[in-house]
Amino acid sequence: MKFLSIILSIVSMLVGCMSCTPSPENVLQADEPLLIYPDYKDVSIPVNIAPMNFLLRNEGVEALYVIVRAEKDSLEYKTRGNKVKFPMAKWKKLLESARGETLTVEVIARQRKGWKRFSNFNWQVMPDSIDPYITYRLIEPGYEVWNALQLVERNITNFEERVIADNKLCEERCMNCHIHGNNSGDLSLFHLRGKNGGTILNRNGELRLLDLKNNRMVSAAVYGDIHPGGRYGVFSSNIIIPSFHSYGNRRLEVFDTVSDLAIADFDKNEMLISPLTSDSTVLETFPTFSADGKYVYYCAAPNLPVPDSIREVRYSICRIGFDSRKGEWGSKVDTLWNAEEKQASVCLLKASPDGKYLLYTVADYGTFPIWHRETDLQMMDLETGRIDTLKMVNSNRSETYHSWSSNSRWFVFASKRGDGQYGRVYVAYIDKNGEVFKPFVIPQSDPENDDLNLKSYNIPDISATPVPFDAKKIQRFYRQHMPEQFK
Amino acid sequence: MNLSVEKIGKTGLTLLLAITAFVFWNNYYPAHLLYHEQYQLFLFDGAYLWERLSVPEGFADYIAEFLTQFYYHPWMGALILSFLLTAIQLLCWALVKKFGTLYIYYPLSFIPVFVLWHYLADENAMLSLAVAILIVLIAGNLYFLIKNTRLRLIYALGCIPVLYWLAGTIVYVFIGWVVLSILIEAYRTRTYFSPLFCSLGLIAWGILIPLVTAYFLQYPLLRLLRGLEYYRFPEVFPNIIYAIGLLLVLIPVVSSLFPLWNKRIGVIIEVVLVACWGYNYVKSGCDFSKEESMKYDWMVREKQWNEIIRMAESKTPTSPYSVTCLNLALGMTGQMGDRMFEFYQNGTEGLLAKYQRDFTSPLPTSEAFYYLGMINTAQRFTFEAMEAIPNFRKSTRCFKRLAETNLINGQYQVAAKYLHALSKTLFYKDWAEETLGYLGNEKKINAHPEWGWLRKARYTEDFLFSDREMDMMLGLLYQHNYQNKLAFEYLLAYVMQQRDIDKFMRYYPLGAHSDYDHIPKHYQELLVYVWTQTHNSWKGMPWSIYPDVMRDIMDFAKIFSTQSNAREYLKQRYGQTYWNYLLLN
Repeated sequence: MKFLSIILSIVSMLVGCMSCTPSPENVLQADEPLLIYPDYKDVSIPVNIAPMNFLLRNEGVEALYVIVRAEKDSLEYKTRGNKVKFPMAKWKKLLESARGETLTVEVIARQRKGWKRFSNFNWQVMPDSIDPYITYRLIEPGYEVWNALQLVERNITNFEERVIADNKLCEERCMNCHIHGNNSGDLSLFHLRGKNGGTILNRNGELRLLDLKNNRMVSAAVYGDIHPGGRYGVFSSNIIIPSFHSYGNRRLEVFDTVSDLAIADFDKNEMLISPLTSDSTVLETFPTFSADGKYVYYCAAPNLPVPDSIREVRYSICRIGFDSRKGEWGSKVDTLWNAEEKQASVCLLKASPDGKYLLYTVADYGTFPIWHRETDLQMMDLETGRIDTLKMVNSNRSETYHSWSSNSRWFVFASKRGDGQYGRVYVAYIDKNGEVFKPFVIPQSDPENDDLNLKSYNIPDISATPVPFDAKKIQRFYRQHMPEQFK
Repeated sequence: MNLSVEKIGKTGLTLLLAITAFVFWNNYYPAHLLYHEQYQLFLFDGAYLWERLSVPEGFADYIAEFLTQFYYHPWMGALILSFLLTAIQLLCWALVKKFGTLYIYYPLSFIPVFVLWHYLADENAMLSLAVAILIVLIAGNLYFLIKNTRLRLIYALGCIPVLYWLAGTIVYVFIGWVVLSILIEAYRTRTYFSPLFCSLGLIAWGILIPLVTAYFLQYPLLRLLRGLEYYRFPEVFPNIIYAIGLLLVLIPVVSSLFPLWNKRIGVIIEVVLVACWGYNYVKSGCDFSKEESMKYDWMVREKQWNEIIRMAESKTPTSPYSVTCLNLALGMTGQMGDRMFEFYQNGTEGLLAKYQRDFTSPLPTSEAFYYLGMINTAQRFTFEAMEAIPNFRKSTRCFKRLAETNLINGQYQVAAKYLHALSKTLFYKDWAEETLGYLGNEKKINAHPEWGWLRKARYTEDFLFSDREMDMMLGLLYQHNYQNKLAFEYLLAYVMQQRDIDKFMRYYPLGAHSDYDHIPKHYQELLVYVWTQTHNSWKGMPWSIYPDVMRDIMDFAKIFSTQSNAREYLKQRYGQTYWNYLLLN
């Protein structure tokens, strides 16, 4: 495959060389605004990010000349057509030399009436790196039917993408999203559903297939997180009911009729259950560990009759202690964010690795934010309780499924702001004072990819190192193993 | 047999095959072609080509998809299939000849073609197999054109991986020819060691290629060894494909052993036998009831409402799939209340069928939801049907409908995504480009006869859709816009199909908001039935009922209550009334 790609690249290079790329001459100032996709105007980028390729969407663009200027270095790019695809090596060199600087991007385009210079825009190169690996599930944004599912690991410092699990190789089973512990490829898990399915746990490359369920749980593990120590995982078990909206672009509403929490002890094959988080009158879900592993944050709502009262179901943020040495739940539940007071509903909690912030999703109601247009990210300062509504990050479409980089300076999230249907992965910077900057969508080798790709990027999760398995290994492992039972 | 007679005979037989194949696909099996066409989305796009070429069999698949897009016009599809089958037969004969088979066995070259034809009559058989066979036949014929033994071997060694990549596992047929020809030659020359070694080497080489491929590609090994795209269901590999392969390998060898005879009568018998067997075998592969259902579905796509009704008048459809199409046609022509029970009905499943996780059955229902104005539900059924296509392909039909539902819902960027893809197709390009001009132009959309109306008809308030309370969903739709007569007709039809008379009587007065010039016949039949259950005379009846309906119910009631074994008679006489559905079914 690689060999074939090289040959094709050489052929396309030769063809490219044969048709000479025009240079700007008699350049006039453009009287229209610069329209680029993705919206990379004035964003803050990590020093190790892949080339920020983009498309010029102004009408009638025939050729482009782009120059990216740093204080001491610059990068020129000329091409026919409207796609800017920076060469990798030159891009890396430029970013390394411009660490902490502001890059100025000048775009000159040839349109029917000659060459035009558009207004410049800037890229702030942040010296803080971002963890390179993002895993996500590629899935059609459908309703109940899934077809081809792949868990993919993308290296965002370049354009390498690797399939780490493929349902085509696993009897076309449903696969849920892959999450890391400690932002490490050596600690991660995902669920493989169906007969003889379970949770595939990866600890230092050793894979285990676990049936994370006992007779006190209403279902196998659903949403969850891995303890920083790697021995435990906290999960919700939910009875999930889908329903469909009749109007607008809200496709699907998913609600729980029952949901509780349980902690899995991966060493003892035991599920730890607390009456405080398995109350039948309360729906508890989306648990996550605090950065130090001493608390479990989760969402909780009163169990109302659904779907009739679905608009009244609002989840608060709660916290309960966890003693990892004894493997015991705490004895007191604190409410950090009261849904009734806020008249909104929270889901998907993620604590920053430095323990300072809690990032979460807020919707008007319910527990399934993907198709709620109003869904936004918010961030709570866990020391002061101050809430940042992240105006710079949010759009008028759903923002959710967020994940922190290990240095707590970057987070990634999925947003449907592009077209309202297909989720894409965005990256946002947060400085040491907690100020958050304008996010940008992860760059693609072909910037038209987001237009043509009919898959959503589901639950992006970021990691400093790659996972030590691939789809073939998962295929073999799944074929050869029965799930380990938990008591 | 003299040369000209032989030539005329052979040309005649081949021509007959070409004509018969064309007539069959064009006149008797066209809906199957349209069915195939809707379940793919062939794009004139470099990335699409690359995606296909990057897997084994991808080239054959790409060519097959390219050809299948022409099925949009069934006559073109018939022409393509006729050409392919004929070319395969001719190439097959060319190859058979290479083994020394005598000309009188020309009809035997039709046997693989008939088996392939039988296979292609299956709606899930993909054209890629036929293309792959054509490719391998060309490669096989080229092999025998090379006279130098060493060059032949080099050609074969090189051809195996290339053929595997271009055409898939049909390469084993090529290996079969090469190995058999080597062994025959060995037998003739009585030198065994080297030919045997070569043969085993070629077989091992043929097996090694998929194994190596499995190392690099993420496909189950079994599929790489069997074939990826010959059948729509990736996990299914029909035995007939093995049979075709075996026939292609064995016919040249076996027929070369047959003796020479010179009796014309013998050849005629041979022709008749092959033709009779071929006819029966192809026929046994055809499913004309599916063809009928597909035709109904296609007519719905083309909005040929009156043709649908005409077709049902000549033969009433019975499958829920076809009945859904018929009922929609009745609704769209305003005849549902008057004529629905003239035809076979299978309950609410023939009206608005519940969602089934497959790629065919949700489509007619999604059409009904669309024309009713239940845009989100139409979108869901369409999207889910496309997601359920077993070979993971996209669908031109679904893309078109999804572009429309998103356009109606004002989701222009999503609509644009579908339209941009369709603008890279051959037959949907013009429509897509024209529709792109509607995006964001509220005035233009609202003025569009279909989309403008559906915008008015659709729900404008959000709630969770419940298919268990479909009558309520229809009622809400009608109450939202009383001009939506189709919603009212479906509402009453739905409760009538459920035999829920109480609900009918509750919903019936809502019809006052619609512009009926008469009470539809089936409503009359139910109303008089209700009246006669509670009254002894017609006096005071609030509805304008036709006198013949009143007379008929009296006769029906009399026979029904007095003659215990009159069921068949009543069915015959009142088979086209609602009473038949209500009381006799």
